[in-house]
Amino acid sequence: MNNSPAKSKRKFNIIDLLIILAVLVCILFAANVIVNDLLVSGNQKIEYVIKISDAEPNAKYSFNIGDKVFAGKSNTHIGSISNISAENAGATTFDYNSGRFTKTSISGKYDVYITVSAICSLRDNIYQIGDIQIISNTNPEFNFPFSYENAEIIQVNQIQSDD
Amino acid sequence: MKKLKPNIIDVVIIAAIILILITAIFRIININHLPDMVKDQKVAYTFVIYDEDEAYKNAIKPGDNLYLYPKNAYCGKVTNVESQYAKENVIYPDGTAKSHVNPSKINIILTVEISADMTENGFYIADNTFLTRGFVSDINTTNIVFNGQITEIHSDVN
Repeated sequence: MNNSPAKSKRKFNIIDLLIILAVLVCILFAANVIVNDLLVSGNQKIEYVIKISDAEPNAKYSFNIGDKVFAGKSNTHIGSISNISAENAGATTFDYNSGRFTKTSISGKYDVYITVSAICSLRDNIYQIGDIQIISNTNPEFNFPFSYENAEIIQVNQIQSDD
Repeated sequence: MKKLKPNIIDVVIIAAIILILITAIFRIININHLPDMVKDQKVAYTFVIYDEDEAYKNAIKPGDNLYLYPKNAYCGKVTNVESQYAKENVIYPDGTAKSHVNPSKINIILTVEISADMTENGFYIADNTFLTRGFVSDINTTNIVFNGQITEIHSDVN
């Protein structure tokens, strides 16, 4: 007696095709993301300058050559200090008597310049350390040992590339 | 054999899959919508950065590549850079307003060239973004990011 069960043939239908195509698209997208990450330019040595505007007089003494600099909510290490300088803070105000804008010094306030050396990657044409972008005219939420009103990167220079 | 009737869940799944496929196809290929488009035309445009700190006067140089930020879409090579002091409106105590030069602020005028698909009103860059006169965006080089606006577009570039 023949006990072999009847084998039901499953027909390949349009829904199967759509699912396979969607999975292929997702795989290709993931592969594209992974390959782009692998093609990220290797270690880049950069030097950038942070300007802390209108800082208190003791701000300059809060830093030492060799100190690490941190930024962002994740407190990412974004380099080490290689130089520190300061100058009197200034402001541009309008003088109604002369009818011109003039630059004046702000008593008791300083602009502090910190030069930072760092090793980073060049991703999407921007220097990055982790999720922190090192690009001028931005403030990546520096974590300094004092409160400050305004700080931003004002200059970025590539020193050396391992590519 | 019992016939399976598609229910609402099947319809939703199919619709979602079709949407994914259409999005993927759109991202992969360039879609030319307009019949009057001229492809691979050399385009020059003026991009103006307003009221920047004068410390950034030399931040962008001829030869720098520009990208839309943060999309990283290439939008041309800088061929010329000019800067001029910005003006600021001042309200006098009597209520009148006058424009005066502010020496701590500058406008940076960039001339940018790119090969792009051009229409009567603007041009497409690589990621299908349409750039036209008045277009405002953050743009970046490798070293700096600015916000500015396209003020002029020329297509008769040699």
